Amino acid sequence: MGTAIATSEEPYPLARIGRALVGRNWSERVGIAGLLAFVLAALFAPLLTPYDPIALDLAVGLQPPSLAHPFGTDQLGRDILTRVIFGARIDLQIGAIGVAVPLVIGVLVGLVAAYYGRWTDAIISRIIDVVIAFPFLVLVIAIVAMLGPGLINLYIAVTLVSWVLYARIVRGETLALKARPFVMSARGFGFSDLRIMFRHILPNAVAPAFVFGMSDFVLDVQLGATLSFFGLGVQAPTPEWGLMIAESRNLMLTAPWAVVFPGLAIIALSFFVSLVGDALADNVRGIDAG
Amino acid sequence: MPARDRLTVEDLRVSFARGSLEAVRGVSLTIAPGEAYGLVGESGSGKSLTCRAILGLTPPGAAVSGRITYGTTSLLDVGEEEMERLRGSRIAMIFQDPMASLNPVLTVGEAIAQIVRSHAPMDRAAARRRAVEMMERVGIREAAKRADAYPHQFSGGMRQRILIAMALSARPSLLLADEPTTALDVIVQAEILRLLDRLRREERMSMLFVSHNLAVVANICERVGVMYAGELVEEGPTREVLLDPRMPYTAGLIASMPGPRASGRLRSIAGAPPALHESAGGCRFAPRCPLADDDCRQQRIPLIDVGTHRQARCIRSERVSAMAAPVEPSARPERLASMEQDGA
Amino acid sequence: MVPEPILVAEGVTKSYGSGDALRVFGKRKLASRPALINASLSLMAGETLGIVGESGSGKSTLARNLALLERPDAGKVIFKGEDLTKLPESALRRCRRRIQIIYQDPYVSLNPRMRVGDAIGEVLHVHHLVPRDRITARVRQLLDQVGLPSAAAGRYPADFSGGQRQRICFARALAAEPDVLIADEPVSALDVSIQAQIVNLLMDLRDQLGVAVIFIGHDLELVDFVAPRIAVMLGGMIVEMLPPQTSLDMAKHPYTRALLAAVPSLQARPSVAGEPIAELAGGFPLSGCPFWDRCPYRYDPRCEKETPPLVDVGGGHLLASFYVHSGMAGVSALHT
Repeated sequence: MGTAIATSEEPYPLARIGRALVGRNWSERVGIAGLLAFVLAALFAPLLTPYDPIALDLAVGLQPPSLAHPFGTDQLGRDILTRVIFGARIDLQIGAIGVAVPLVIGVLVGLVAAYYGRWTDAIISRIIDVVIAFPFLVLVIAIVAMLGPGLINLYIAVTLVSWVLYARIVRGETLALKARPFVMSARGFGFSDLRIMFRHILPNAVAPAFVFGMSDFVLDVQLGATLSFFGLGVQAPTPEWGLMIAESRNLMLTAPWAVVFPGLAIIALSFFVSLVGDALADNVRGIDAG
Repeated sequence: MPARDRLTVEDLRVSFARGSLEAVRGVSLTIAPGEAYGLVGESGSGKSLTCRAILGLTPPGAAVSGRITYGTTSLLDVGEEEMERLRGSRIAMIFQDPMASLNPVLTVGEAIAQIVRSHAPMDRAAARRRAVEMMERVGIREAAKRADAYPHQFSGGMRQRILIAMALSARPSLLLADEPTTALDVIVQAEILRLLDRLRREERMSMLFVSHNLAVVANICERVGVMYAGELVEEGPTREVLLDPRMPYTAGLIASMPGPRASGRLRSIAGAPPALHESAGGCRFAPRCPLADDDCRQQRIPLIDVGTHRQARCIRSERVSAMAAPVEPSARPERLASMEQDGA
Repeated sequence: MVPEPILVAEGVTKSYGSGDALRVFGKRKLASRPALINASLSLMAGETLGIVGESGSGKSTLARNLALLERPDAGKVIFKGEDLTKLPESALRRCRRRIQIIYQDPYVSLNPRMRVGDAIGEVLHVHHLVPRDRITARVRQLLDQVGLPSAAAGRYPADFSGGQRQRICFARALAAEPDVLIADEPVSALDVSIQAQIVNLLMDLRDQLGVAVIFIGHDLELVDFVAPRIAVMLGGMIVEMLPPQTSLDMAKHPYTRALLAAVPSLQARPSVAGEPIAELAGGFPLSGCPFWDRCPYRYDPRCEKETPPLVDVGGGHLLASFYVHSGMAGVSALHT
């Protein structure tokens, strides 16, 4: 009867996530390890350093890297390593929330638009087209300028602009899936629209959105740094990498460590997240091929 | 008249992933000059790869070994440059999906002319004339006008005709056809088969026709080879193989096709073909074979002669005729009769 | 008392317009020939009807419209006496499960991220077909009915071969306890040796459950094997309907005979000679008989202008052809 069934890996259970953390090749492992390092550092920040990221100590200002201060100190005597570690909290948060909120909104909007089609899709698509027409950075800055500086306003601005990218991705996937027989079968069984959208279409449409989310994470971190650099994001004395670079930019020649280390942190985090994103992309392609 | 050469394939092996996935396991066959040979098998049988290996068109990552000789040329040893010269001029190939083989930004006339000029020096006007001539030969009406059309403006069957025109434009002596009619509708398929048959005879070409459809092959090929799980399991003159199969798999295939006298249930073959990486000791069909016994499962079964120019990879071939439903002897008299007139 | 047919299509017509954009602005351009034109047929409970057609014949469109997965532009679909085209979507949802479709490609007919058991169980759950605690047992029973082990329930579709996936599709369709099963080219994507298995399975299930079956295919011989009554479709229309007990040799429509002659067959069919039929160059003609530009017998001036009506030529044998109706030559003339 031909009942030999192959065993495959199941798409989403916890065991798979566990195996995924170990990684399949070096680039994956490096990415995961690096990202994990940042996350752990952010979580356990107070335990990792004896210094207070905000406290001033002008006596030890502008010290080059040493045993006591591995990254040196800035002009206000604050330990840069400590500020970088605490800064990770902010920047990771920016990346995470900057991706999570637009992703949820965008995925839902894209799904609904493509599923119901006609007027719903026509209207939503036009809105997406309009928002996408503007350069991302310009729009975000404009909104932040209107709302005023600060982290919350940054999140609002990023959300208002980024959701369209996710919506577009998921809309495309949903349109393609709608034509697939298994979705038609679901309709043929008389399943409700809600069930079809969330049980049948969404799980199959959402993967590319997550993959995109990884590169979006990197963009958002850099966006946060950029805005803070211009004084539109996080405000002093909160440690944030972009802000740290801004505050010390005049010291490039005299105390480069104040600028270099926060910069390296941005680059390193971006790099690790990109590696993880690539791994995720390869993974996703594998599932859908089966 | 192009030179008439014999194609000999000896112990062809194609494997992937450093030998762990063997897709073609030691296939040997011969196609005499002017002969039409049908290679039949289901998916995973290795028939397509066998065909592609002849022209060196296996996918990247495929390890090919064995000997393939065409005339005096050893195809597996020849360099890429020489191979490119061979392709089209001595051996041509047509594929299943014509859309994928036709450059969408070239008009069909240009596409054919390009091929013509790559094999024989001539000016553009002469090449175009030849292209139109080829299009007429393959049955495209108003060829001169249609030569300026793009591939997407033609239907599937027309595109396949164009592909055939391209393949034949340099007058090859061997045509490899890899499932050329599988994607076509029934009536169109019949037309294309008729066309191929006619052209083959007119050009005195030999042809290797790969298909999963035994009936299609039966109508156009004088000899047929049946492949299963990477091996050739039966071979012989088409008529004889169909009327009197000697390998249970062939018999099973024939029996599972509905015909006007079938009733009740189709005689199906239980189970499914083995996966590429499985290497059982004995006959690869044994798990599904109603005649299999321990001998079958334990020893490697070679191809055994069961008649003149007939072989079957089965040690129980005498018992096969008892299990199969016989095919009506007067199978397509006009087709087979005409084949025998000019046949090899 | 004459039994009522379980499913009737009356004059079902369906076109695919040029997309939503045109409709948004209120204009609807009739771009090309409709995919389905005035299709009418009736199916009795427990009967098997075959539909044969090549690509573009409208057979899949008919399947979708019979199951009301699309709404016909015109015509009625009457199921157990009720006109489904008049029902709103919410009411339709309740009776949807009674008409099930099995699709051609088993590789895209199952949700890749849903376990087999869950997919089958979902049907049982949503329609409350069995009490909650009996769902697992019923799933196992259905898997068994299609020849799969109960272990299959915990696996994902990717673990199965094409033939096995098609079996899963059957199990899922049967879970809905349908009255009508529409099999749209159910074996065309499968290997020949597996095709026979699945066809046999379909016939077994049909006999066991008494479900009415519409078997759609392009392989005339296969459809003839499965179905006693056969409708031949071309260009969105039914051009011939062969009643039970009629062998394929007795087909009269020039297209059907061309189809018969073209089928590569291991068996002989000496009574049908092959007349070369020109190729479908670019879509069907916009008016008249869908076969007129290729038909070797288009002597009647009406062929080009009017659509021949489907007429009973005796014993339930329906035919749409001006040539044959006009009696210009008897059936014997079709044997060249």
